[in-house]
Amino acid sequence: MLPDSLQSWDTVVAFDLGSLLDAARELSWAIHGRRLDCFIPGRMVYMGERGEYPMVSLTADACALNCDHCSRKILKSMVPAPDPDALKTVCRQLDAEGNAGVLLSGGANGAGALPWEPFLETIRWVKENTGLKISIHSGIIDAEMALQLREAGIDQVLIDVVGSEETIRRVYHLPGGLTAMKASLNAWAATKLPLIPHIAVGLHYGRIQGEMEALEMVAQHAIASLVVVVLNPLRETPMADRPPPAPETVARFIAAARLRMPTVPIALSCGRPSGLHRVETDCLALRAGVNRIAMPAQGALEQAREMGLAIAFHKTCCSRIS
Amino acid sequence: MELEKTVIPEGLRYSRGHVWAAFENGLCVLGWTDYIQQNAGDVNYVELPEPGKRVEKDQEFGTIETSKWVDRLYSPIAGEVVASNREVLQRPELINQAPFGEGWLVLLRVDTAVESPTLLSPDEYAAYVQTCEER
Repeated sequence: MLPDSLQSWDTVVAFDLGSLLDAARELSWAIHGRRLDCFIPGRMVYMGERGEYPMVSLTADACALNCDHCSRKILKSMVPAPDPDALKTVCRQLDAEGNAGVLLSGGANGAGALPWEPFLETIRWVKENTGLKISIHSGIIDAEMALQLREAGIDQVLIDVVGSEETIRRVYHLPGGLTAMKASLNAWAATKLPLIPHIAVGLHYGRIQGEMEALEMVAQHAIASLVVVVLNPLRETPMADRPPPAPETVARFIAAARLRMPTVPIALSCGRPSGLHRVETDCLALRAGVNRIAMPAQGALEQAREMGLAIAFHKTCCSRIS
Repeated sequence: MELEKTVIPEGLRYSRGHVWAAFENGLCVLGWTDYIQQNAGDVNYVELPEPGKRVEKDQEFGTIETSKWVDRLYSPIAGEVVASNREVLQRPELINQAPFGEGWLVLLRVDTAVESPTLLSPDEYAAYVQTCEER
């Protein structure tokens, strides 16, 4: 017998894995139907197809936080647009190339905020003069800037949510801690824009710490979907030699999220380990009733077909259906 | 030959799938080019065939994963696998660090001594890379 929600990680791991996943999947299928939406985000390449939702960095590869899981490596894979003119040029070109949209992201200042203010007019121009959807990867934000971004015309908001004060400080080097993170969530919730929190399983150097608290933080808001990220220890970062969380751990978290927020679509992010870990994680996530997977493993697609799921592919961020 | 920061060694042949091929005495070594490893990012995982397996021209011989790239590897030539690089299975970063050296992928005994006419010379591959960049 499973409770309606699982409040602590100890409770989640106490349950038999099969029973937990079965309960979550049955609930997921009853509400969301038997379907799996798959995504090719950014400009990533998947089986010869390229994504049409590039990630753009408003700070090029600069970031004051230099988080332990990233060390600015992720920024280097983005299209740089470090000033408003560059952003206009980049967006004009991406639109002409037929992209569906852009994810505006970038490095943060010491307080965890991105430099949105100088880009507001350009964002408005992009919305008025191109067909691009605009998603933003928020960072820490105040209520006034959130409203200004809504007025500029952004379409949706992605935000990383961490539930452990220690993790925020040690991994993100963010002085504002949980208070700043909760304030940012509140600021976005007030805008009524589609809000897509991202929770990284194992962000605390591969360990579970604060994920359930993060889940509770996002469950307080009307979110459009939840994206589950899995720590992928990158080379040349302080986490390079840390083991990622086990696939079973990821699946348990997805099941807990499903039971906590039955109506919210849950996506497995492109940010997760490769190879056999990916195969196992994706297959277990399907057993937990995940609704969306970015860059799914072939083995998971086979399993999804065996489960009788209707499969659709989208060349966008997993936070949006094109 | 260097195309900006992309190395395209002379003496090799190239496929439009960004696989290089080195022919010698009926054998052929295949690997991922410098251009594609730079664009695809850190290689995290690679799957290669066992020795003795047949590989057909333009058919899959393995898979490769980076943080932003999940795809099959296609052979530009038919043959039988003599050896796979076991080292890159353990250390896929070798494909980034030495794509034309320790990062090689497979050694084939090719069916014919005649190189496939669809393979590109270094100059032709450099021109092809330019078109990829302009896309």
